[in-house]
Amino acid sequence: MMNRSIVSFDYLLLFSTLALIIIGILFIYSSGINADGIQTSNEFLRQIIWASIGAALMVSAALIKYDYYRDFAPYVYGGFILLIIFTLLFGSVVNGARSWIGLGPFGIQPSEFMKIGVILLLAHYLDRQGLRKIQSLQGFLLSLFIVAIPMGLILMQPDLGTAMVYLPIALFILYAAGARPLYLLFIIGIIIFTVIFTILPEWERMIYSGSIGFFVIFNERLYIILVASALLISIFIALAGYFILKKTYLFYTAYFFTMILIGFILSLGARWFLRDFQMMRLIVFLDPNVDPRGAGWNIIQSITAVGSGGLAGMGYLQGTQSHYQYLPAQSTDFIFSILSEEWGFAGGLIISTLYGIIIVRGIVIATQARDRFGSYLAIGVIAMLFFHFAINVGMTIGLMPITGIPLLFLSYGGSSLWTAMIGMGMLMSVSHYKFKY
Amino acid sequence: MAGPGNSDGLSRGKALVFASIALLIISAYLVRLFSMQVVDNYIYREQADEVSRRSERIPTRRGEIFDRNFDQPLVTNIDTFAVLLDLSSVPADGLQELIERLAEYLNTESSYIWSRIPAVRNQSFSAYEIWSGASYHQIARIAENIDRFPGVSWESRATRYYTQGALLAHVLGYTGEITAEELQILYNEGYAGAREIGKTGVERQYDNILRGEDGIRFGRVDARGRRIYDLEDIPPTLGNSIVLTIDRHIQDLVEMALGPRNGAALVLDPSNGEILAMASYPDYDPNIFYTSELEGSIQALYDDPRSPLLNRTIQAAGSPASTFKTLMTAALLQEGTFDPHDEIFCPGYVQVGDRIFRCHDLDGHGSLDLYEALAESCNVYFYTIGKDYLGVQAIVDYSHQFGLGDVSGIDLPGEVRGLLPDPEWKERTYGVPWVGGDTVNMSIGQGFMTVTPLQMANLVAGIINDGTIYQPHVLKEIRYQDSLELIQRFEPRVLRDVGVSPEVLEQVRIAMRGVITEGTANVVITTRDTEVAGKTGTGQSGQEDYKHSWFIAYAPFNAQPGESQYVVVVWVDATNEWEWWAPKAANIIIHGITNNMTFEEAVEDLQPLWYMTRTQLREYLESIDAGGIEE
Repeated sequence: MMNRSIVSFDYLLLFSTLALIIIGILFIYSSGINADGIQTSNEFLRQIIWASIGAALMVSAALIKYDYYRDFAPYVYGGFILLIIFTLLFGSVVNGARSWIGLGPFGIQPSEFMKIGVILLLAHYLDRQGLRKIQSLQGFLLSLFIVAIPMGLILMQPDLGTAMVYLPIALFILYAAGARPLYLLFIIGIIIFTVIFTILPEWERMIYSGSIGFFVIFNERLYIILVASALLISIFIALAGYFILKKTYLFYTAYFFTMILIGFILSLGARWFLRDFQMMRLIVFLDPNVDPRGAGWNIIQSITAVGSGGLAGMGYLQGTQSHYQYLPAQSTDFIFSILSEEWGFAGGLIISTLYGIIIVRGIVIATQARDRFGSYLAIGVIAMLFFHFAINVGMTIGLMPITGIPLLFLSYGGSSLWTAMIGMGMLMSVSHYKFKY
Repeated sequence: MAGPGNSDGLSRGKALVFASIALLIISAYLVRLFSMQVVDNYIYREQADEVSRRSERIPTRRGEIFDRNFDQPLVTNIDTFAVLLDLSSVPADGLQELIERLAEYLNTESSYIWSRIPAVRNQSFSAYEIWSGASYHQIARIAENIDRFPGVSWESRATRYYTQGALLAHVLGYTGEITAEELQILYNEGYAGAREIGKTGVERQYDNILRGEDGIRFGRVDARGRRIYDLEDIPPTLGNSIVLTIDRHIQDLVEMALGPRNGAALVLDPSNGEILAMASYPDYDPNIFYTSELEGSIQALYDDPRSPLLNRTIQAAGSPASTFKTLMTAALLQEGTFDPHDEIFCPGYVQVGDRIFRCHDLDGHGSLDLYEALAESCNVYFYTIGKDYLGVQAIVDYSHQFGLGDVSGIDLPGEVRGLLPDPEWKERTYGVPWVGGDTVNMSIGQGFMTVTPLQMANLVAGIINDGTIYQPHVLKEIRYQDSLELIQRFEPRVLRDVGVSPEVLEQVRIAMRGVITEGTANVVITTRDTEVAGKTGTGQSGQEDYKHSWFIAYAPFNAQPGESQYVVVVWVDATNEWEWWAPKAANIIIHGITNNMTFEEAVEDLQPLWYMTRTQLREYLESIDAGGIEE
């Protein structure tokens, strides 16, 4: 057993990864075909080049003993932070975000690679702290700080989607490391309330198209202050009651009200911060027909493409939504839509199964890792893959709002592909070096 | 501490939580995919198909309308241009300037063009139609300077063109965009894809013959609207053309003779019901409905209190006044309750109950028999006949038989029935009983009764035809638009028989001839080229100082075998009862038809006319040449 594990690579992971990448290249090719059946894009060639180099990176990462990553984690993290700052200052604007640096036709998105940096540093930091430290509020906040810095910088680009995907990755690692569920739920609660309070007034304006008297609390300064004050007073009363009476339900009352209050305040910030087009993406997620030819176009076309796929699809290169160019960003954000149109439910099942294998295998690797760092690393990589999958596929089938999150391994793009493949390499390394010698 | 599963790795509990979250979400997605792709697949398939399949109309051409001479169309189709503006190719800061330039080139106000551009604009490609009915000349000027008109394009459109302007406007009607309400009613008759529909007149009545069917060019387009490939076309079916019974030369004569006087005039062939001319004033030029430029004039037309859109020959009704005495004459002779040669003394009035009914000759006509009474239009004679010898029921019955109070079923939309009152109707409407005074009033065509000029024309036709009234109509033939081959001819059909014996009707005709030779119309009917028979009438219009002047006539009085007769009815609002324009107009019309003359020639030929000297005629004609008749 010992022998086998040393010489054997994690072939299941390798196979699944390569299968996903090859399918991705197939559909990047398909997405370049126009209505006349002519290939109009060389994206698939570029992706083959990215994938070839990426394969070398992945194998190298797998063969390196992952303990070295631990030592380099702060440098990797710091280096990419500097790169992002550099990008913010000198990068080029693509799709409205200053997220690219590059030379000539080749460019990279540091915000993609940064995910590796965050996973490494978080794993490293949590590994070094004892469980007691992790469970303390201070330790929890410090961990969040590690994530908050790149998130803040990426928000400034601004690239909301990419920034947001950092949060669930961090929460997964924190949970794996034993952070208190009370804290984790607090963060999740704040996110939920922020989103709800951000969308509600826009929902009233764009979809309900009427006026709900109650909604002045989101729009008029006086009412905003009143509501915030009322929440604050409730929290104080609940806390005072908790310290005097020692009733736990009073603690949870204060806990709950605090989440609402922070969510309320953050939503005001979000509504001020979010651009109109970003807000519209949230609105059309609720009802794409508010703006069917504008912000709702992508969702409607994607859902139509997916739905018309049927059980076995229209056949490779036979899709109509895609080749008539109704489907936007087919090679990147909406690659799952063209796949679903041409391969149907069967294609979706294949992708889901391959992702499922990688995720389950990754979790097994995490449980079998020989130390905490390896296990956190594995969970971080798995979380990254999983949330990209959940957000991207959810978006193409209308279950998630539109964000510019790629479907890792499949979507066209060197930075995200390399990030995913390096992540896989690290996961393989954890699998490979699970024994102490 | 070596090997898998040591305590430093992830605990099994947490691993289970992670695995559950991941697998749960993946499963949920698969369920969603299954429901979209397999269960609801047909919905999306249809949606995808619909989104990319675009059909394009291949416009058909509406049939033309000819008069009976069948030499040149009264209504045809011409190409005008619709101007389109694609906002996406207009620089944001150049729109204001562009619109002002367009307004200048199209000779309109820029505010009008602004009004055609929606405030909320669509981002994707779409061109707005900002102008219709531009002339070839205007488009040529824009084309010469096309670099100064970014985003401007044009499309040729077949547009209805009324070659004779206002001539026969009320009969021809006009077309317009189909409204939602019309579509709702006509949807099942194949109007689903139609855009244009006849709104009034023949255009409306025979819309299904004229309109044809648009063809469809199917194709698939991509998201930018570019055509990908074509499917098979469905070719358009041309509309059929119509030949009317109207003779445009007679129509012109009639319209000129009616002149700028509110009223109506029509000429009918009693032997088959063909309408030879049908005029109504005020009129309008239907061409204004087809140019953006003239949208203001359309509104003016709707707002005009004189209702220029009304076809007064069939859509307006008034008291028949003394012309009704012809029907009274027929009724009396048929009933035989009073010897036509017996005389009744007219002292200038008659008293019924406590009401005094006057004759128009206040000094009285003295003693008259039936023929003299009709010639002189003596009210007292007919009061007496109506009250004492016929009674209200007989009058109502005969009116019925002659078609009063009922539509004739002419093939034009909007015909009204007028009103034929009877005791029961009065009781029901006013709640008071019919009294002797009502019968007296009715005997001279006053009171509640109203009739349309067409009903009076039918009445005369019945008298001429020994009782037979033919269905009046304007449609003569339907022909193919391209080959002009005959498809169908309108066969004359009998509308009704008046139920009066030919001998009686012959006596009525003699009495009507007496009106011209020695009666009230003697001085105005000056034509000597044919023998006219008829009856004048001056009715209350409901307005003080405003009377209807009627003249119902036919000529020639005694047709030789093979000679055709025609009925002329003129109904004019007279500012005072002495103007008497109806018989004067009829005089010119009859003289013109008889001698195949234009209005001008007829008036010239009839000189000297005490009511229209050569100087007056010249002034009148000049006023027409100067661009329309002003009142």
